[in-house]
Amino acid sequence: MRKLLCLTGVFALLASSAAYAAAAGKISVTDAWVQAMPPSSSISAAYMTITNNSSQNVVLSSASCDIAGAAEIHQMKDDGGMMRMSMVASLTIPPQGKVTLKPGGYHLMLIDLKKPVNNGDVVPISLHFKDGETIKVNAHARNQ
Amino acid sequence: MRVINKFSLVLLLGVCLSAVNCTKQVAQSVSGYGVLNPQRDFVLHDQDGRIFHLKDHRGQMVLLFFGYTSCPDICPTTLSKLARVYELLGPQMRSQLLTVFVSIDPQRDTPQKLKEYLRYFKINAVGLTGTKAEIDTVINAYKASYTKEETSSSAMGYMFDHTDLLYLIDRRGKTIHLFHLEDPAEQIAKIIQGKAALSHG
Repeated sequence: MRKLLCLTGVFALLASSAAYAAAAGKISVTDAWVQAMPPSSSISAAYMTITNNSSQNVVLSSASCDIAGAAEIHQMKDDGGMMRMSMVASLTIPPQGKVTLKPGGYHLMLIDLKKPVNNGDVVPISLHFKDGETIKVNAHARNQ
Repeated sequence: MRVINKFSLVLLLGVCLSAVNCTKQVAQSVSGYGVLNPQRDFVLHDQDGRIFHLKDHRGQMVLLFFGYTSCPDICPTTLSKLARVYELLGPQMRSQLLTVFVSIDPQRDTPQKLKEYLRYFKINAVGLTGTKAEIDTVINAYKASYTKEETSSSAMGYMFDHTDLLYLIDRRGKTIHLFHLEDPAEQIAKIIQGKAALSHG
């Protein structure tokens, strides 16, 4: 009985890891997190590392999130002391390469939040790629 | 007596040298910006609708920061980092260091919104707003800058580009150090502690 419980636990753990590593095929997504924000905020940002395991470019063309009215790809740039934010149409991940979305760089802007993003919340985000593939990731909310 | 005189001379020389050294450090950290806010004062409205004068906060160290609550990236990251800075500084310094968050977005950032926003980060902070002209006066005094970028393609409607500095202001209202937003919390806390000790002396 104890062995059976252990095995069930191992399977549950594997299933959960697979969900976070989000499709370890052509594209894998790791370390997905969302900025926890004050309850009055209607925006937040999501970050993650997208790895392209294939030999061709992979293009992230859009994203969506159930708790946000819109999810856009944005880029923050330090331009000689000015922090400039702009929307970008797509994000290309080179063959066998990766792009890390992080504060001060690329991020997925979550706009018109339908509910607050609290520390510890799990926020499901769908990443839509140009070739038609969609990858779902669970991003954990935290303050950083 | 002669020994005491010699000792005094060495002590005096040491104090002078350290004063020169400190002046140099301050000059280096704010060099390139000239004298920031020579009046050492500005007036805006706080999150409770009261008039805020910088000069009313003499005796406190101030961290001044320009931002906006719809900023998803730099502003919450910086305020979370400041929460860590306050932790590192300890409870005694907490009341002696006031974070002043000046909104560059008076259209969206009402006093109530600023209050709720800043309360979340659990730091000793005040949120300030005003008319665009009033905010611009403060921006200009600190040689900061921002631009409002209208965008029809984004659901945001508009966004801001803004300078990435945190201003450390001493107990007399003088800007003594500029932090960049990417500076680590440990470094910020260490410098504030050092400057606070000097400012007492």
